[in-house]
Amino acid sequence: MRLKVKLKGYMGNKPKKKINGIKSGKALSPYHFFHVIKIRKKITPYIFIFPATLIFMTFVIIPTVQAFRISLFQWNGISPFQTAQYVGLSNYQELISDRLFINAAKNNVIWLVMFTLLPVLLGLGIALLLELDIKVKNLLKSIIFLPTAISLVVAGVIWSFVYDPDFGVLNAILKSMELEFLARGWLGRSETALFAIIIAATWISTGMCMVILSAGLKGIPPEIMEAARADGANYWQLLRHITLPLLTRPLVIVVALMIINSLKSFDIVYAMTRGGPFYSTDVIALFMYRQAFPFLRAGYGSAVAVILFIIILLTALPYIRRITERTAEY
Amino acid sequence: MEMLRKVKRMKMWHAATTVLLIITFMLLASTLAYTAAAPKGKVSIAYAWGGVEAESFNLMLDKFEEEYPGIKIERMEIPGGEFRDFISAKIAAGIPPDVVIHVLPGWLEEIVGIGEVLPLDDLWDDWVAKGWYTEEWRNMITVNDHQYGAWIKASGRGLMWYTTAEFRELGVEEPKTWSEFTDLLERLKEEGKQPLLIGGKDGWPCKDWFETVLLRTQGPEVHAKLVRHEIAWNDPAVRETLEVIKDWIEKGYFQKEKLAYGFYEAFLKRTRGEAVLQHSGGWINGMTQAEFPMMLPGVDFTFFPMPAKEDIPFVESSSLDYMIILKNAKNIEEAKTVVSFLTGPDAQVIWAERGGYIAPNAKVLLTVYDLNSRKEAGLMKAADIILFNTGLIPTEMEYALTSELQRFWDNPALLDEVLNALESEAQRIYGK
Repeated sequence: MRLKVKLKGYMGNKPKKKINGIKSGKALSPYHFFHVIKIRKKITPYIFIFPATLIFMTFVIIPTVQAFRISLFQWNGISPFQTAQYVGLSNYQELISDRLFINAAKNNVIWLVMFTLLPVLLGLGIALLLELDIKVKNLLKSIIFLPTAISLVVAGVIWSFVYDPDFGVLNAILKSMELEFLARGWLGRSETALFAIIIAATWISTGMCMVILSAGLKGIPPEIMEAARADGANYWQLLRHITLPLLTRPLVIVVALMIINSLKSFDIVYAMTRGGPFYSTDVIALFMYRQAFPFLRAGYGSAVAVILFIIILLTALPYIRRITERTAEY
Repeated sequence: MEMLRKVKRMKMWHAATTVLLIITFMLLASTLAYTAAAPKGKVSIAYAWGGVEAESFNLMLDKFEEEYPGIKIERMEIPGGEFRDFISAKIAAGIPPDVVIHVLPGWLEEIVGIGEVLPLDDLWDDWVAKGWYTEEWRNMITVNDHQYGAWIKASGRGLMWYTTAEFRELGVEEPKTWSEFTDLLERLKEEGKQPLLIGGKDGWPCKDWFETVLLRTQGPEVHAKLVRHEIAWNDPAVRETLEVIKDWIEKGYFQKEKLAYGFYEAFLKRTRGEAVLQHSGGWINGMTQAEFPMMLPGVDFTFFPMPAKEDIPFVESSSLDYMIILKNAKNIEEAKTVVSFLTGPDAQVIWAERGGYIAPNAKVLLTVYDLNSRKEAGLMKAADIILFNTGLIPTEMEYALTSELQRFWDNPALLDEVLNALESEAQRIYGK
């Protein structure tokens, strides 16, 4: 038996003369027909991922490799790279003893702890609350999710107004509650500025955590909950023994995302304090930017970038592993 | 059949993807082509002035476009905080603006050092011959025996601004000596007023305060040595300077939240009467006229220069804004025309008439200024030396100084820690 196949052109119905060496309209043997389909099946995915790969290579892989290379040089970032002086690992050596880098790293650790705990716990709490029978829960979800749509820079500006010592909402609330002694310039004091920024960032990220965890809660099969209830489990027992264990995967994803975001934190800090007052809100990404651009130390800045890249990569690995897992386990 | 339909659908997707890709690359290519080749007759100027200063500067540019209709100006108003980063990134990307206006001479030396600035020696010969500038002004822009910039704006620093009504009400007068000045601060405190205000959040006001007190209490020689790091930052002279400020902070002369406000908020707070004196440059004259048009300069508000200690010579610390043409500018000849115009008297008189500005060009007469600017210009001419501000120090050191002084203003008890940190940073930066 022979199959007759008509292979059409890409944009119209006009038959092409030859595709893959086979004339259109020509009778194909079953072997040829399946061979063509097989080749196309193999090629098609690559064609689809080509644009993304190209962009990823151009804007991520090549600059990353370049950063590794530049970190071994002393270079101002402006003059031709030929003028750069090879310094080996001395940029990395300098980093180890740089008190400002250590200060920025310490601040990043505070970010990491607070910015991971606060949005995740708040997001989880809200997601659990919204599982209860509340009429306006979709509206509430939308309101809580809304800040996620705002850019961090805009959020930074909004929160700078909130923290304004004279006209800020926060101080106004404190004064109205007769807690005037607590009112202060929140961003102007080293002991409060960092936490003030983290709270602003938490405001943005809680919505995203809530949505992911809420989706996770929806994915828990109701029959498991019903079975547990039938066995006499109360709300807290359900939460501890059923809900939280089954939420492990979304929780890991959310925690990993928050850790990565906390390590990358830059824009909101730049918008609110630029690392000040006196480095009290400085973070690694901002330190890196300052070295590479205003101070014209592209080599040193790149060394910071490489360190940051390695830390983020190590942190992101469990996240990447989780999202590439295909099977659900109940 | 079903499979063939699938194949057809896939082909459609391939075609759509290809078209999208082509469009993307065309857009990208056209963007690159546009940025790579700026049209002739167009000069881009990057500057960090904003608000009323930018308005005045734009009037100068409008006048230029009127006189030279063949050259269009692309105006790039960049926020001061991001200015140097923006320019560095533009140069690195190979798409620099033609003309850059900046105020920190330390940055000029850095950027000249990496060979990115075009020397303007020939233009300077012409300007000096025309009597626009003296040799002293020429020397001040000279780096490695070449003139790499042109002056566009001068401003006095170390000025104490106040509203005249407040002084009248309190029955106090402008102090002429250091002891009169400190007495005034004490008197204001006794009267229940907040004597001083600082917009420490911006950082640079802390640096400006430090510089003025250093000049007034230690003199210009110590200042010059410190800027070149010929004396240490923990030298007794620097320590003494910070001790003066520490004393004022501890006596409550400054407001409580010193780092909570920026310069502009501090300016507004003083005009609302929340403090009596604000240390600033001459630009506050233009700001006040823009914000409060009913207030007459020299009548309703004015300034006095912070007096020097009795045994210290008085010098006026001035900041001077300069223009540079970048070596890789696309339209160098047109850029030179623009720079020549802006450094000339016809352009500078426009801003001088609007206030908050002192023209560096000698051909701009004192009569064009308002009372405050006239006083400021007279002060700059009468002063023994015109100095650059601490902008002479390298960018990295300037950042460290700003941050460490913020720490000091926040907690003056950390004086020694601040000085040692500054010295340690200086050794690292100057030693490179």
